[in-house]
Amino acid sequence: MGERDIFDEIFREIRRRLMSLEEDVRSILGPAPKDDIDEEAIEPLSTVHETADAVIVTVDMPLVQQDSIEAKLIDDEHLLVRGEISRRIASAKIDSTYPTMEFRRYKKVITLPARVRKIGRISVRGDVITIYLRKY
Amino acid sequence: MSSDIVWTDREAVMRSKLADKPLFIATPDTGLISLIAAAHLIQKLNAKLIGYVDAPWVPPVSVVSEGDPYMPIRIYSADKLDILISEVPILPSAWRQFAITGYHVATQLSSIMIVGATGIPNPKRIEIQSMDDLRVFYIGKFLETEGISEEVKKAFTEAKKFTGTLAGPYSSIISVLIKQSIPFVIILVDSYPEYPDPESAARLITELNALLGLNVDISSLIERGAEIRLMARQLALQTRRQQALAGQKTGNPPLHMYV
Repeated sequence: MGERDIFDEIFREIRRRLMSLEEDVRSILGPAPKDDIDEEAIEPLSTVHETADAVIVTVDMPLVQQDSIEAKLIDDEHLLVRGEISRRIASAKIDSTYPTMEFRRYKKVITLPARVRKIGRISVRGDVITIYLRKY
Repeated sequence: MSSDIVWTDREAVMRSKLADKPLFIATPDTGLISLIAAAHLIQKLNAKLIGYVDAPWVPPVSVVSEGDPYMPIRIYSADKLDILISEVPILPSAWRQFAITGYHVATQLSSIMIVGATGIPNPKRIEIQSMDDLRVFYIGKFLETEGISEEVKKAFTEAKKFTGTLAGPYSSIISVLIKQSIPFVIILVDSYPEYPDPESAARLITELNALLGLNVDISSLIERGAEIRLMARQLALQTRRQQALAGQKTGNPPLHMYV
């Protein structure tokens, strides 16, 4: 009985330390971008801001072909942004755990912080795209 | 702690001790500008790896290049500059240990001063299309210390000085350096708040060229800017996460402005 308690205690401590280590690692590495290997699509970085009457989304799409940029509402809370990359990007430059392949485009579904009616204006400066969405 | 530092090239350490060089400290922060600039400087100045940092607070991540593993926090030496670079974001709980280790590296290399840099998270960065229009601000202390070059003193005197709160790892570095009375300059450059900003890093290098008498060409950094932004995407996400965990913001006005 006493022996079992000691092992319980040791394993509990090991579990506690592993969980703490896992939390640290997750905190450092964070959630990975959701790249789509089947569609050869990289998920770009994006930020979302909300004003009284609009939701403003910016998306960082380095090397994007500007005439291929597409933004459309999937529903009133989800925005799809896509664009072709002007040259193929080897997967090793994005994530060395990926199979050897090339990425050709950007694709991201962005969850909006509020329900929106429609896309207002889209502006492109450099490779940063800003999408203004009108709220209900 | 000084025992966290492992020197791999003692001859180079001795040469640095005799050379009165500054130490540039680079770690992932807003725009990743010091990290991108440090990587460019290491390459262009042909800096040699002379040591690394190994401590319980160093993130458990190895950096492997073509099968060759490296520690994530390393020390490089070039003719006119030594560089301490962390390739991984430091947890906010370890920012102070990183700063103390930076101080110990500077002490062991007999660095004449410490230079750091980070981005000013400018929400209107997207509207700045020319690198020359990026704002640059300085923070510095103890620059009247004997041995600090006239170029550094002049550059600091003439530079725009930063006013406001500074959050992040460089805030910890400042605290430690003030406590230890070590001369330092922290350079702040306009940057995307949440995206990697190689153009801002290039602007930083032009400042370092003038401040430290370097002559580092930035054309290849500008040319590869888009590719660097793409490759640094995940690191920018991780850094953003650390900043969110710390829950503090750079740019709040100082108390004396409203009392």
